[in-house]
Amino acid sequence: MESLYVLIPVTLVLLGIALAAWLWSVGSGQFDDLDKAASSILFEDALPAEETPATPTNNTGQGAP
Amino acid sequence: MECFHCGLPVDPGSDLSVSIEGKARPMCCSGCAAVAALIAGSGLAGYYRHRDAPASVAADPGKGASDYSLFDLPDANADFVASDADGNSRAELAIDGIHCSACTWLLETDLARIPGVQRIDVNLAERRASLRWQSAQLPLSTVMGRIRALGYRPRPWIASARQQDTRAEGRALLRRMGVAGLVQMQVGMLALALYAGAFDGMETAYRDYLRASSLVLCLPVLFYSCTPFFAGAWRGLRHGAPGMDLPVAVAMSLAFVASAWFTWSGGGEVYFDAVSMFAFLLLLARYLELRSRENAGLAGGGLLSLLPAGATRLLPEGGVEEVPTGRLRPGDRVLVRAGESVAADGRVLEGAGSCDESGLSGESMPVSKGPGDSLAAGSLMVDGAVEIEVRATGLQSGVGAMLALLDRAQQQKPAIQQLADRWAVRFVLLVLAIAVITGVYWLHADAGRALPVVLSVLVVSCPCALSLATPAALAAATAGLRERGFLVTRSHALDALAGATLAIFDKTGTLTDGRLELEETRVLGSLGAERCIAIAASVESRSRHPVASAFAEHSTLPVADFRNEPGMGVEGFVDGLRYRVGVAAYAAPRSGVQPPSAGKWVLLGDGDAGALAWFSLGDRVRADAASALAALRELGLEIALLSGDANEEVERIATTLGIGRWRGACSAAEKLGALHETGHAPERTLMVGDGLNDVAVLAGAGVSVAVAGATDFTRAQADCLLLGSGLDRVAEAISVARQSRRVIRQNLAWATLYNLLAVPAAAAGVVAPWLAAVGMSVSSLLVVANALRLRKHAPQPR
Repeated sequence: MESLYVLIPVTLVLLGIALAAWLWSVGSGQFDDLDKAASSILFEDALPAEETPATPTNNTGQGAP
Repeated sequence: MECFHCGLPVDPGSDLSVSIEGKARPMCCSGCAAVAALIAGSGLAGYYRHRDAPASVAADPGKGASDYSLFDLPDANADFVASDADGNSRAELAIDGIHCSACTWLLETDLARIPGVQRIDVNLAERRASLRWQSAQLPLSTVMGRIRALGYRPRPWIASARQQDTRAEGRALLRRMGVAGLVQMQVGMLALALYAGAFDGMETAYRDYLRASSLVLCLPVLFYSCTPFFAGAWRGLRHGAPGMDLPVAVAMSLAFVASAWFTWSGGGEVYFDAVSMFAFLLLLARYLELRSRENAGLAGGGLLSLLPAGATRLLPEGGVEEVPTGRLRPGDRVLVRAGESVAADGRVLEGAGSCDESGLSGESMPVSKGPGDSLAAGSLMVDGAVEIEVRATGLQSGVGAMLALLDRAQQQKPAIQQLADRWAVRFVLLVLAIAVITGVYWLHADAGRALPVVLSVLVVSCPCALSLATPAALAAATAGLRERGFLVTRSHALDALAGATLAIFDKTGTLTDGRLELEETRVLGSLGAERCIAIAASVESRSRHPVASAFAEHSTLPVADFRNEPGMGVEGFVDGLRYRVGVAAYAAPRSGVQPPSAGKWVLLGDGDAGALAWFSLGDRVRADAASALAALRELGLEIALLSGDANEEVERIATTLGIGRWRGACSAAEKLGALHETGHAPERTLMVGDGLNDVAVLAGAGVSVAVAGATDFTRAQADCLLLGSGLDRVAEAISVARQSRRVIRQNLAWATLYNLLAVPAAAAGVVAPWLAAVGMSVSSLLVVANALRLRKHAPQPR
């Protein structure tokens, strides 16, 4: 049972890391729009264009620079 | 047949279609066809499979095409574009017409392909796009033009202070909620060990160690996550109107202080798990409420969203230039063409046309404008083109005056204190009184036990159930209603819906669908009524003027040499004879006939002395209006009609729908005044509307509903939004609101009963600590479970 004296401080450190990650992810705007992300899985990547030559894209909006 | 792109009915004679994924799909107009062809041609037809609702009807790209080039000028885009030295620019654009995630996918995928675009991110909740691009390689107007070509309407996003606050508030709340959530899991695990220890025995050293760890973990919850509750409680106390935050703050701090005391002194029981879990649940409820408000999806906002981005200014030395609306000054001469919105109040100098003012005044027919007539900012030119002299711009214009009226209405808005708030405040005062009495008693009876007993009274009575009772029921009812297409955006709305006794409706666009129909035909000449209608329908079939929609259902004959005289009428040749439909002075100028009565009449004539028939046009009542009103009456509500349209037209609709109380020809200010003369308390009124002239009265009513076709600005002011076209949803929402009020009462009754049993026992000093903990959890669970019934058993649509 003495291991508790080590394990609980370890969980505190891990919790601290998790909290820091959470605060960072909220601050970086990842949770600003939850509706779009929820349905983004439904969309396939664009089909090859019929008229214009298609450039590779993905549907997260991070187009090629 | 419906347009595959926008869902509007397709003219039977039209053969417009676009091939999408191998199938020819009908299109209502060349605007929709152009957009659909562009989407399919880019390989993005998946949009049509995943969207929630049809797109907004596309503007014809050839007609009144918006020129975005003025946004390339550095002084016009300084407000919303930021550039660095390398030419990397960022801009925020508000995009009207986005309504589901398929739209965001379409925009992101298509725009990311434009060479020069570095990143495009479309926010569905805010209808806003963040764009990063190389401004040296790509002008902004190209991107905006492409958005327009896809059928959306871009404009600069200039966030109001309130919008920025909402975003910051949402993030802060999310942070606090996450912290409480992560911590409560840890504290819960430690609490489980402590409960096990309480039954099976545990060394005091370990118990105290676990308690101390829980105490440390709880610190961020209390001092970070819970700060909104403490701030709210303090604000309430200072204004003498304590709300739900007070009992929450009292319970949190007392439970924490008591637990800390017992951790220090080694006796009693600790409640750190309850504190952190309670904080998490309450913050979650708040976050959900904030999100449902954001989901109303309102782009931009403010005056900007009502006026067009730019206007065509005529230069004194000849020639024209595009200027942003904000740069117009009184005295400027501006050209307004068909399909364009008017950017500033002004007086017509030259030209003629008709102007749709339905959003501003409630008038259902376009108004003819000629030299000398005044034109209001925010109205839409339907046909023709006029040159106007600007009289007033921005806040000085008529639209600006409506905003001032809106501010006034909001200040007068009746305060609706929620049922649970009143109850909770009384409850907290009562518990505090009992705690004091208990303390005094035990000080005399057994001074050593006074503190532990007082603390257990306060903790046992922890108003968890009481505080959760209302948010849980409201969240369940809101979610249930949302699934049925009724979006509640403000927290007081359900309470106000349940208490409403008078439902006031606007006419144009709310009870009617804003399209005209043919009501009556009065034959003047030798031709029969059917022949007259057929001729008029044939000539009108070529026109895009709203009058033409009244004849759309009638069969047509071949027409030659169609001509449109803006503000007057239309002309065409049927079987070699000339016919005109329009005002008397145009259709049969030499016949000298007068309209048979007041109201909206158009004349069919030969353009000379022969008047053939008068047609009376009326606003078409929505198909579901009668059943929606019947359902409201069944619920015991009185119905009233309040409109800006002419009295005759309002009376006709009121008679059709059996509405006894009606008032026509009301300006926006008169509508707001009428609200206070109904004989019902303003907080018990429900207002349903759509136009700009309804904004003030919507804000002033106890609870307001904006219909699906309402302007963005109106939707932003309303407490509830109809997502689909069904007016029936209003009555349904009232039944759900009443049911949720019953559930809240049941929950409050249960919480009270629990306390009636637990508090005296705690005051007598006989409650085992573990029993108090179990009692608290069970009562909270019962309350939440009871609230969830609202979601399942809400009345089904009839």
